[in-house]
Order: sequence, then C-alpha cells, then structure tokens
Amino acid sequence: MRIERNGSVWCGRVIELSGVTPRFDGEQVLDAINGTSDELRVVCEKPGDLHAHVGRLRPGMTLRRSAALAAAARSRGWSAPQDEEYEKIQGRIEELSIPDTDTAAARKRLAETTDEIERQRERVARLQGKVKALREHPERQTSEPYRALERAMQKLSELETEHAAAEQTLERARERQRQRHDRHDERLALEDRAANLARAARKHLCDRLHGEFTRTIESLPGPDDDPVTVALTITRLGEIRAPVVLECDRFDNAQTAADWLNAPVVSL
Amino acid sequence: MLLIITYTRSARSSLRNVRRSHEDTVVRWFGRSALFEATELGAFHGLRLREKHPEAVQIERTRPFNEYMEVPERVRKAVWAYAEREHTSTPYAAFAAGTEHPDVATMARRKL
Repeated sequence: MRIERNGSVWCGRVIELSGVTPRFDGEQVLDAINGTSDELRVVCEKPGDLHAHVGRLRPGMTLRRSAALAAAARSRGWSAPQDEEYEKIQGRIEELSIPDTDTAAARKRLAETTDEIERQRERVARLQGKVKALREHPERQTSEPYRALERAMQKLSELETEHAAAEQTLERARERQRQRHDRHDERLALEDRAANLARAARKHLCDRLHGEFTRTIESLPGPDDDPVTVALTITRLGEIRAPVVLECDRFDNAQTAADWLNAPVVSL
Repeated sequence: MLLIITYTRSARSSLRNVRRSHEDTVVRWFGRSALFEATELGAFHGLRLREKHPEAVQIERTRPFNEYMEVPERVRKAVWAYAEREHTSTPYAAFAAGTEHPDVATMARRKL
C-alpha cells in the first residue's frame, strides 16, 4: 500500500505511523482506505465486507460479533446452504415494482369542498330567510335578495358537483392504494424470509468457524470478551487484503501484528 | 380508534418504537399494525409515522360495530342458524341453499 500526505509518502505492507507528527487520525486513515477522504490518499486493495467490521481496531470499538465472524468465513470463500434461496428471494424483491399512489391531494380536496358546502348551505339558508321576510313586506321594491339567493344556490350546486367528483377521485385513488398495499405485503413477506435466511446463513458460518475461533482467541493475551481481542481473532481467521488500522498495543510492533493478523497493517 | 398499518420493514420498526415510548396512545398492537387512541395525540403519532414513511403507512378510522343497528336481521338469523347446523362440515353455501337464509353472493353484494 501507499499513503500520501502533503508530499510525504509511506510505502509497504506494514506502515508504522505512531511517531509521525502531526499525528494521523484513525478515522481519517480508515476513510482514506475506503476512498472517502479528501485530505489523505491511501492506495491499497479495495476493502471487502470483513474490513467493514474490523478495519479499525482500537480500545472501545464496537463489534457485531456474529456478523463479523460470518464475514470472516465469507472472506475465505465459504458459502452457506441458504445462499441460493436468499439470492432467489432478493431477485424477486427487486423485480417487484410498487407503483406510487398519493391520496393526500384527493383527501384534502374532499375536506375542503365539504367545508365549503357547509358554509354555502348556511349562506343559502340565510338568504332564504331574507327572501321570506321580504315576501311578507311586498311594499319594499327590491329584487336583490332574490338574485343573491339564486346565485348562492347556483354556487352550492357547483360545489356539490365538485364534491362528488372529489369523492370519486378519492375512491379510485383508494383502489390503487389497495393494490399497492398488496404489493407491499408481498415484499414484506419476502423481506422477512430473506432476513431469516440471512440469519440462518450467518449462524451456519459462525458454527463452522467456532472451533477455530476458540483456539485462536485462547492464544491471544487479554480477556476473551473484549471487543479488540475478538476483532483481532476474527481478522486473523479471515482473509483480508485491505490494510487494517491498528490503534491498540497488543503487539510488540506493527510487523508482528501484521504477521499474526496475516493482513496489511497501518499502525498509529 | 385509529388503525395504523405499516407496509415496510422500516415503517414497522418505527411503529414498534412509537408503541414502546407511547404506551398510553397505543390501545392494541398486532405486530405491524396497531390501534391508536382517537385523540389528537393518537392522530399526531399516526401522522408522524406517515410523514416519515409516506408510502408505507395506512391510517383508517375505526368505529364501534353494533350488529343490531347495522346488520339486517336476516344475516344475524343466518349466523345463528348456521352455528346450530347438524353437520359441522357443511359449508355455508350448501347450508343456505333452498332455505330463506341469504346466499353468499347476495350478502357480498349488499353494503352495510
């Protein structure tokens, strides 16, 4: 591998950076290995799934133990009996197309026309009252309330038509939504099956590595339940070609670490 | 009450979180769906879920069901008669044939 920073270059399978100033940041080195750093350039093998679990080994690290162990098994080229079925289901999930439907606009329109109709009905009732009062006083010469009532009733009828149309639109949207929910149901069932298969596959791989794991971890100093101890063991068990960022002092030097882990090492 | 149904794994886990942190609002829980209290707070939590997962959360409002108000007597009578049938293996369609009890297609057509 090759590390470049501000014109300085480090090369080799094992790179010791612990004495370098300014100090290197572990997170940044890991980002550079993953190709997502702007400040630092690391030219190396592309990190795989196992590297995502054990790419940076430091005290206080979190480790998803069985996922990491399964990734180590995979890095050896091992497979699980569930793989084929899993791939098949993933393929079916990808093929399932789920159409977009949005009923929000239709719901909103319906609510609005409902409110408007309510207001318009009140207006019509008020005008009807006026017209009635006017009939009782034929001496008043005005036709305005009659015309206003006519206009209000016309408007009410328009609103009712619009309301009916909004109802129909929503009904159709609901029908489409129901079909979409059927698809969602189908996908959810497939996803649950895929998740169960993935879990079973992980268990299969962990079980297969278990004996080796126990023997290897016993050969390491440090408590067995410490994430660093576990991660180091898993790194050794797997096949890892991208460099591992080492920020713990379990080994005499970077070379010893690289030999034991059987992986390229950047030691900070 | 408000019936909340989720249709994706992520929406389902959001619903699970609501249930965990707002027990008072969640009246009943069925895995990936739930009944929320018909309060503003229930609506708030339901709408929040749908805001987060617009395509994957369905909200319906439920109401109490009173068969004496909503279901015609002929249907209730048919239920009672069918429960009392002689052979438990007789399907309803066969049971209703030639009797005064409503047939399946008719019931399917009639809205409540």
